[in-house]
Amino acid sequence: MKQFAVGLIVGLVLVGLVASTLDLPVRLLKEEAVPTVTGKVGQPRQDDVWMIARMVAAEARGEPFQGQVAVAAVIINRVRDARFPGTVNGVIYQPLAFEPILNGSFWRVNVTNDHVRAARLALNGWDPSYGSTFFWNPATAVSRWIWSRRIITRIGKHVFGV
Amino acid sequence: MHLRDFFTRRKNFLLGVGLALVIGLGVLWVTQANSRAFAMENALEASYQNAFFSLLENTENLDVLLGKAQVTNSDTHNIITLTTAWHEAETGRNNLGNMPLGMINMMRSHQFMTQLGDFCYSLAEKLADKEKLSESDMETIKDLQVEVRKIHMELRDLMGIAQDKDIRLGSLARPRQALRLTPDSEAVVDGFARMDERLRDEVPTLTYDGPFSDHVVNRKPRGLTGPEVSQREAEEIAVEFIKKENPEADYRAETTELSSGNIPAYNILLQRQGQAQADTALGISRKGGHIVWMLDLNENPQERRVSIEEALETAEDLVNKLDLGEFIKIGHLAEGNEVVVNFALLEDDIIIYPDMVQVTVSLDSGNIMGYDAQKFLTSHTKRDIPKPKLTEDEAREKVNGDLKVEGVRLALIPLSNLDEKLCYEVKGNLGKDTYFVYINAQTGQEEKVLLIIKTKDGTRSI
Repeated sequence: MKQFAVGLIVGLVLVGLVASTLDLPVRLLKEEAVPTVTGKVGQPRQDDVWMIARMVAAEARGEPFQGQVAVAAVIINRVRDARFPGTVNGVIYQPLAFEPILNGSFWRVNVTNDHVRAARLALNGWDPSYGSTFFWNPATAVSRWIWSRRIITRIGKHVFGV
Repeated sequence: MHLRDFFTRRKNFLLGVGLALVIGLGVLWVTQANSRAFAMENALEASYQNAFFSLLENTENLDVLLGKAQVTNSDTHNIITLTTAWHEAETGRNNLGNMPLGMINMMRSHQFMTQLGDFCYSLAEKLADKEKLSESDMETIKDLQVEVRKIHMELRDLMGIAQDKDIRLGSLARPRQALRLTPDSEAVVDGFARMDERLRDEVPTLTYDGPFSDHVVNRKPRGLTGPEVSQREAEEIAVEFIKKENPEADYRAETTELSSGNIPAYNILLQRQGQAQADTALGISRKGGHIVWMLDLNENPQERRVSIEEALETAEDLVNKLDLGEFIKIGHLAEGNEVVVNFALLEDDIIIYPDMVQVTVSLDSGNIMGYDAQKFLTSHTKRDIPKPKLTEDEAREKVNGDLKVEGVRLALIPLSNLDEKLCYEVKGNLGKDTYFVYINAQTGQEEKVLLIIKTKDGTRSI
């Protein structure tokens, strides 16, 4: 019985040791999750490009290039639309607006040159979505509401609409 | 000592360690995970409530400001009241965007806030231009005040429900399929949806001199002239366009989609003979068969091997071959390993800024990577540009005396309400900075000031 008690104490000490390292995975996760901005400081619209490229990477990975530009253009179209927030960050971080923000993939994606180029083209005015303010993937869209939108075009796996 | 002996002799000890580990780690894991999640949820809840309370304050302030705007007799003072209302509405719009309700139930409310602010701003501009507010302007202010007061009351009620029933706003944000809402929180969500619906039904369209006015939002493209083209004709137009750059190559065209939207168009993919993949995507308008946009799909510039000047020439060559008229380069900007070049139409030596086309050129291969004419096709039309009443010298005199004038030319500039004004574009320097000042060629009024930022990669105007 005495041994059992000693065992308990040793066990608790071990638990204490584990507890002290508990926030380690959080710290590691954070280091992985917080992305760094590459590119030159002072480059115009750098923050907007960073955000849009990230959303394109998260939402349109594997899509044809014009489909990636179209996804970026939807973000720009929302910024210019009175029914949505008036800034790029307002649109991207609007609660419940984009799946990658909800599931966190926005902070984990691997942004490539193409995603950045798509973001810049959309900011410069290219719009293969022809003014769309919504896009969705018919195969995975869960909301029935989304199908009440008027469809404008389809590119790759995505449907674009207003 | 055998391992087995060790286990038998220390059985109780090991049992104790094991038990402590299982229970201890279990408790630790649960509390840690919970407390972390709990702290995060509280932080989120705080930001939601912050947005909600700010929104209440915004609507209350707007109510008061719109009231004052009707009472005041001083135009100068009214400018301050109206710009404050604009600012208040923009903050309200921002706070709406931070509410945990998703955009579906908030779209009309958002639009209302945006238009309200935009409308107030346009009135302040009017007063600043020494114009008087019309009777219908006053009527609209009155209607908007009634509407803002209703919104304020509705929001108050919803806040009341949330407070009485202890509803955390964060619980409204969970996707519905994941967690069924309780009847009380459902009432809050529905309350917002009802408000949105009421605004959709009750508030009439707003037409005024601002970028969010309904007549601007619902504009039809003016430059889409000519007959409807068939799919086959559109494909031929696409091939012809790409052959301007690569005359020798053979292309196979495929129409992937019929698009509607602001410019109804055929989406066309071009595949070069002998290539495995499509290398160019284009949009060809159904009316008139105009090229709306073009994107190269394969080019991925890795380094800069071509000078910006060479790239600008390539872009200019393409624009000259378009047959849309005479264009003048109005700016360029190199980002990454490509450069985007902007051109505006030139008519009778007047720069027509609204009629713009853009070209991107790779600084790696020197090839054209993109073309866009959406702006041109939206605004281009046959215009009757009036003769300027002011002379060039008179325009020079209108400009701030500290500005060292470098040059003056005539330009047609777009205003946010879709109006176009003929102006003298006066280019001048103040210290190291370059500015464009636009003097209305009829009235002599200053319409706009732009700061030009020059870098080695190009220019941009603010």
